[in-house]
Amino acid sequence: MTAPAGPLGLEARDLTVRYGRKTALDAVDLSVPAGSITGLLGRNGSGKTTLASVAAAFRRPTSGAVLVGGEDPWENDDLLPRVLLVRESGDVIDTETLRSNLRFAEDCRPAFSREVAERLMDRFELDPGAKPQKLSRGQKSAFGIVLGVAARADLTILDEVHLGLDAPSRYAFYDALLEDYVAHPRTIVLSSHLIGEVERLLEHVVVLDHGRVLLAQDADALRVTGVSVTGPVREVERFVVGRTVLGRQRLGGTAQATVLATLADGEAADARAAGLDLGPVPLQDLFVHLTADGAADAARELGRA
Amino acid sequence: MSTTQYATTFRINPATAAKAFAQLVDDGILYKRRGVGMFVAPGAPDRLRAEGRETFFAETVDPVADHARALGIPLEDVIARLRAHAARTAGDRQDGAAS
Repeated sequence: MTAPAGPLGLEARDLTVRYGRKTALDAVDLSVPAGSITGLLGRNGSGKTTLASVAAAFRRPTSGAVLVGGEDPWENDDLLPRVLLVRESGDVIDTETLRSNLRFAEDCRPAFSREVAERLMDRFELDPGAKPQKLSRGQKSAFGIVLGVAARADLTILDEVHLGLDAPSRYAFYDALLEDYVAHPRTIVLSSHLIGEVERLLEHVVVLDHGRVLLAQDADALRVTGVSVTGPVREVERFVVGRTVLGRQRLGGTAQATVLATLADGEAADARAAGLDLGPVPLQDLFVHLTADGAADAARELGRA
Repeated sequence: MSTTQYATTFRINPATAAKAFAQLVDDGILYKRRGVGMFVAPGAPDRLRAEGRETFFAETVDPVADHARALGIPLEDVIARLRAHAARTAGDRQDGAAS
């Protein structure tokens, strides 16, 4: 059986990975829709890089399975040229020039676009004659991005590729990724701690926490599941009764609460009439609340919603 | 402009941009012509204006009144300002038409 041409979805079934006595992924079930840009979010040590490594066949699961386009990627000759993992470590040949590294990538990536690679090399002001070992942290990241975008792999996993990049370069990265994705659809898994910056690029979000899936959801649905309420303490307290409260702050007579709720128009109007300010909760804040210790119940509620 | 251009211009996921357009089609503001593109429905500007009028006082004017009260600005001052602004912009528009 061969996976169909085009964007490759990713699926994990009861996937467990242990490093000695440490469990990095604990019976993970998740799926990344083919053709989506999916955010893989999680705190340090949550298992993001392990999941990426198993998906790209850099590592074998301890138990369970990972499927790429419905197939096991391990030593799968047909699949592997179509799956690309770019790690922050770069995975380039340190003693060869960037030009040679690009040529190598072109040889083993069927959809590689030299034109895109050259344009991005210019955009990031990378010298094709330089060797990776001479590059700064930011330049190494930029080269990883060049490879990641130009390879046009049907499953492209970008794991913390923005490290050391300044803000203008990160925006150039987002623009290049989006433009090339639109022209050449593929599945992109984007792992980043800069949630505020990447959230609008995402169609789907997977949050890992301590090796488990905290939630896996459509990003637009997730964006409207949180409400922040600000106003007089008494009114805020009245509003949150019976709702799941993710966070609370109080300053003098004013309180703010972040609750899991999608308000009906009437509820919102009532709240405003009571002197409450309602606001959206950015994905990053939702993430911070949900991955805080003791927030697992709230996350489960969200997962069921 | 295509939905793709919206996505790259505003740096948002193309699916999000497509959803926004689908919503406008559902609301009858836009309509699709297969193979040609999307167009603004006849009467859509009037409908949007009518909807805007419905929410204008509750969403725009009432908060201004609340804000003015909180700052201790008499309502008469607010009204005078609105009249002055309207007179000024009406004048500008006539100048523009004349030149």
